[in-house]
Amino acid sequence: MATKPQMLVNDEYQYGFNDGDVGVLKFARGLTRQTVEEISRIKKEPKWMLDFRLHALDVFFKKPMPRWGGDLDHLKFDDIVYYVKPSENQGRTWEDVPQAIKDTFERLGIPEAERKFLAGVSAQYESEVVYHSIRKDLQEKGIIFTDTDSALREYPELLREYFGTIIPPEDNKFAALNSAVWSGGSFVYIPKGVTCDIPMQAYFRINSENMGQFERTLIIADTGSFGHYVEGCTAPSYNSESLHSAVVEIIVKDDARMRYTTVQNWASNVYNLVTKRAVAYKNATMEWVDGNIGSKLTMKYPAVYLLGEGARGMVLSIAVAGKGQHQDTGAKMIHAAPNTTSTILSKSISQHGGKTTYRGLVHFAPGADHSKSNVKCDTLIMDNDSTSDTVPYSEVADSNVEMEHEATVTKVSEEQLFYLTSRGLSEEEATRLIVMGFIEPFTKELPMEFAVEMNRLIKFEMEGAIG
Amino acid sequence: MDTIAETNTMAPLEQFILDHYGQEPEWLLARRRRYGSLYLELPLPVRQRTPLKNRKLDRIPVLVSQPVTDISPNSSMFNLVTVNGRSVHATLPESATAQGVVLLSLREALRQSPELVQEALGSVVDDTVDKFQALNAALWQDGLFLYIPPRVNLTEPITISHYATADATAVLPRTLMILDRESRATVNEQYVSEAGLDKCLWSCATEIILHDAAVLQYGAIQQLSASAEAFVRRAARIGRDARIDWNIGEFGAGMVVSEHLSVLDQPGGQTYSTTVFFGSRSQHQDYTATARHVAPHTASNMTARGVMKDSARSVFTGVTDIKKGAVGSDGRQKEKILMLSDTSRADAIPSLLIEENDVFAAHAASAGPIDAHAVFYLMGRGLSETEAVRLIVHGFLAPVIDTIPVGALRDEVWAQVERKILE
Repeated sequence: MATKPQMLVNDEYQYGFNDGDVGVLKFARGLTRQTVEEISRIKKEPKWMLDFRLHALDVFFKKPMPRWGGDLDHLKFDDIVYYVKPSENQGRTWEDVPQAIKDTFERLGIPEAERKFLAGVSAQYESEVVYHSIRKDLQEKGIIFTDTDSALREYPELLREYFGTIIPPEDNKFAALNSAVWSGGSFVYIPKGVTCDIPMQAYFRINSENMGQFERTLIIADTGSFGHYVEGCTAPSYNSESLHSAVVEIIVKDDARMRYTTVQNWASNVYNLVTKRAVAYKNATMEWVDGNIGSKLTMKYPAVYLLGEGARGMVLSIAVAGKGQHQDTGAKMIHAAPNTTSTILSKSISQHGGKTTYRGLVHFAPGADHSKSNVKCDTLIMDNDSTSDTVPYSEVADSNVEMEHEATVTKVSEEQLFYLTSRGLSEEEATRLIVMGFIEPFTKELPMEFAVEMNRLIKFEMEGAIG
Repeated sequence: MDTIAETNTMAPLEQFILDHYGQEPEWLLARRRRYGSLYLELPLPVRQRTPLKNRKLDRIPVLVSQPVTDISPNSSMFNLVTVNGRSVHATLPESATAQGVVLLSLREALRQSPELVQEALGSVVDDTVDKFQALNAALWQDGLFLYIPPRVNLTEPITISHYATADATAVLPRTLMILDRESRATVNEQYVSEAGLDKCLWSCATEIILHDAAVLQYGAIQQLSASAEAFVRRAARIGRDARIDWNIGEFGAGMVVSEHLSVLDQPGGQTYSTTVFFGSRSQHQDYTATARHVAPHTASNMTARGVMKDSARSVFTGVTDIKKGAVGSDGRQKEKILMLSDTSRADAIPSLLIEENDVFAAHAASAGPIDAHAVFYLMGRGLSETEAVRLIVHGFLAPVIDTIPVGALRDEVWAQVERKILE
């Protein structure tokens, strides 16, 4: 072939603009006990939360840096700003939001999307949620969709019952960090038997340089309910590093179903080190749809603990690593009850010297009889400078289970290219078509406008790329 | 019989090396001393899934027994037999010696072809990786050396038996094989030991050098007693258009950590690897198979099948490592595990590390129970449950074992499978 397969996602980042310094309160760099106490004081938190934070801070200081996964050597905790308050009050209507921030979200297309189809929208800028709304009819059904700080004030019992129970600070260094300095994030409660058939959306934006964003999300889908939560993330491009370290805890009770969709498109100076975990009880279903396009380094392994009989877990993910990027992502499925099933489908693309790593775990505990798991990981390496690792772990401690795992690593098939070009397509078009087909199992699961955006992103960036 | 009781400081270790290996050439003595001090420095191997922290190595009595002649059963069946690390017997058919094939203890080879040994020893296996490996490099006993001259095609397999008596406490076999250009050979190593009261440490190293277009069928069958703890490291450097077939049967030892590595650093090299393991009782088995593609147009295919029963535990890590520049390479892995009990545990980590885009790499892994319908069907035809399970295990392993091209090895593997099923 005379020409090489062309770029899939342009390394030039679309959302890289910044708004200057808009915050009304910005902490000095670095993390001490005072930082944590001050965050808690500003938020007027109850004592138990402050104690929780301080304990987590001790755990964070004690835990060593992870020595596996991506390169964390350039992440300097002392250079990070741990809290920035962007505005005095949270907006209830779009007009309340400060102009600069509003402009940002307008440029990202947030309010427009909301008007069209969403159940509710939450927009977090730096450390705080600046805008929040939920549709009246859903509120009347008893659905709670608010930011986690408000939830701590308005639904203290509910929050305290579940907060930190799925991911305790001791889980890992970054979960401990988040537990100590968390701010913002979403709190969702769907009552028994209630179906929320349109998605709830949260949008996370980092603006300042060296910002650390630590949102904390807790979702409870009560018995027999259904919900779909969607999040998107962007940040400006700076020369120095920002840190996004979220914790997402999800409880899916008996017969409930929850879907959590992320399209992460951080700028390439953001460390994205996120702990996401769900527990699924009897006959419950948890689905993670996880797209990782941006960031400098992402380490994220959405997990489902299948604790009740007949529970189902699914992770559907794509990772695209471009120049200087490392996507170290995967999924974890812990089968701890009989008749549980899990599916993992992972699609990775590395290009322009990027690196993708699939790192996953499927565990069958003793007593997980008649459980099944199917894992499939496919990787496309677009050029000579890019690399890919696939490291799946499977642990079987029960004889009555079925585990299947498959993975492939290939380049764009020359036969397919040949076939398509012989039908009159240019090589560029053919490559694009093949790549779209490769990620189609993912895009078809996205909400409509996300899928459109995704396709646009890929198509747009591939245009005129041939050279 | 002479033993060393203290190996936790350099002085006695150095004295030991001088006493027992003093006759060896200076370069080798220096090498032994170097690895002796490295052995003291290095940590225990860090195995994610095999905890080794509590092992006390500072008082390993390394046995240096006198050569014994006829302790191993049927020793005449083998071309070479080692007992407790000492070579006791080496014969080759007339036809082989006539073609220049050399089979000796490694220490004897030092006298006969010193340059060849000096150049090759330690050039394929990395002796610095961990404590056990350094121990082998420092104190390997008689060792074994095989050389096949260019274009010699050995039709008869060369069979080697490593045997340990009940009182052995540390056995350190070291094998060096060199297949010259366009030669072909079949080699089978067997590891057997008597059940001992105390634990016996086996630290084994096998180095294989295949020159251009050489072809080796390498077989190893491990049936050590439960008192043995084995650390095995095998590595082959594969020349241009050369090929190695690993056929490894793992059945014995209370604990085993075993690795085999193929280094494909010349174009057209190929490696095929088949591992069959069967864990029972409280065995702990930790295997790693690695294919490292460095040169273009190299191919690897690694297959593993394991059967787990009782409370045995196994870990199988496959690594297909395609380095930058290895264009047109093809690396595949397939792992399958059959679980016969709820108290056993099997982990599989089939990883692909790919730095090149013009390649094909794939792996598949699965684990599952014995098919209850199949057992039911067979029992409906009048078979007992044990017999039915036996047949199904046979069916599971047959596609792999039956591809072992060496008849004698294949039969031995089947015999071991039978033994384990009934155990």
